[in-house]
Amino acid sequence: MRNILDFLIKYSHWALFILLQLIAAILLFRFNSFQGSVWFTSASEVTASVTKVAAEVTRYFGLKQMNRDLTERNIYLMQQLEYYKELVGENEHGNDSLIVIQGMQKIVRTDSSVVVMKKPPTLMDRSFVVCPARVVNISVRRFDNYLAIDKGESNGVRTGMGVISGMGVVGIVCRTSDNYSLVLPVINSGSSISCKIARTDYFGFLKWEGGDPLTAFMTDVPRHAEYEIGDTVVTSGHSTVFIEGIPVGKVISKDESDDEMSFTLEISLFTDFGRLNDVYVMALPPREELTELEKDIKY
Amino acid sequence: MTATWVDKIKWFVILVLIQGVIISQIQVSRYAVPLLYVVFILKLSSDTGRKALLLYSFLIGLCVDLFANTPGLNATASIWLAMARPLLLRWQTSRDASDSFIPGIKSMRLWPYIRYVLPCVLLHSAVLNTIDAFSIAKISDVAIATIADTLVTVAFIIIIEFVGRKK
Repeated sequence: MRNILDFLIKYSHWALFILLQLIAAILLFRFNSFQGSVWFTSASEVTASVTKVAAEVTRYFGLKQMNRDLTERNIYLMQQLEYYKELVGENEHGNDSLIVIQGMQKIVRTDSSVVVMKKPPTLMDRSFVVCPARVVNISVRRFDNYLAIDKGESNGVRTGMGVISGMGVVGIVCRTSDNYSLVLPVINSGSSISCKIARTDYFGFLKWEGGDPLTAFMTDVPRHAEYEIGDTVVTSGHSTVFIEGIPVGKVISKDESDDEMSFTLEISLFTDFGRLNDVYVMALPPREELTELEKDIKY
Repeated sequence: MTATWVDKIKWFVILVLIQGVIISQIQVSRYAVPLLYVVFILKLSSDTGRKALLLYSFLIGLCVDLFANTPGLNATASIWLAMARPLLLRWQTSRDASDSFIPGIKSMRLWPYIRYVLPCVLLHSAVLNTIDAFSIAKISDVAIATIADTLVTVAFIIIIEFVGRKK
């Protein structure tokens, strides 16, 4: 009996090790489920308020690049304005009929990137609200990356809302606390965003498989889809998360896959997560009506 | 470095903040992330009990995890290190077990200290990267990341040691 007790005391650290390992394993696996607690993430009030201070400081080092991005964005918006002015002008000259422009694109080239003008919104477009937010914590190096932003439930941010930046699509809000939110970005292996080739309107899903944070894949593109290297990929607007036409990236190559029904395209992403500071949370109006409708249609 | 309670808490907080706020936000390279907080575990006094070692390691790992959105990941790697540390430390010291000292260049001389730090950090980053990837397909990525992390971390630890000694 004495020996057994001695043995137990001598190796009690193994019991503690196994206990701690179990706790860690539970944390690891629970986090993978989408609906977990925000407590153990960088969007929890404590950690986010600490990293927010650091983010405020590092923001200043990125101001030069930010200015350039804003200038690019300005050029893009000015051209869009010109375009609408032309439209209104045409209208004033006696053309009263509804103007529907399909597939119209303008490409603006600046020194560093190509900004593609999306289709002018039609009457079918749903209106949406954007809420500017700042990135307080981000990882790009891991296989499953996350980022935390400084807007939360008290600002109206809810789980499932889309997040975009001046460069393009960023991700989807996956957890919220009172003042902060955790975003599942494109560069997380669990992310899947419905997108399409802007020129030919063929659909696919945007996926990321680790590695380079600047390249992702567009999967499930139909075999017969037309595309060219350099084509722009935009969001499809099929989900309740993003409106149609938010830039995603450019096609850089085709990936051979075994699937006979579809193929995969390699996409170079517009959003550079390595220097992401300012983002916008997109709140589309509630889709209850649509959900109701879809429910009714089910037979 | 970790002599009294106050010192311990001070270094704990400093290292967690450096790791969670500064290092994790500077993405110099996709590989090679210095895991500086490991210093806390490596520098605990040699007479620290195994259970205390485990609890300290688990706590600091968990705190780093909170900033990195990886609950359980750094904590797991840290308790594996805590289990291996007494053995790896004993290999590099000729002193009596009763003698208590803080591992460092001063107490162990340079090469024994490196021979103690290197396998410790290697084990830690191997566990960390393996669990992070959680897939055999990414084995080459895991190996590259492990070696890169280890080299950078050991370099940082030795630099800190030299800077600290001059004071």
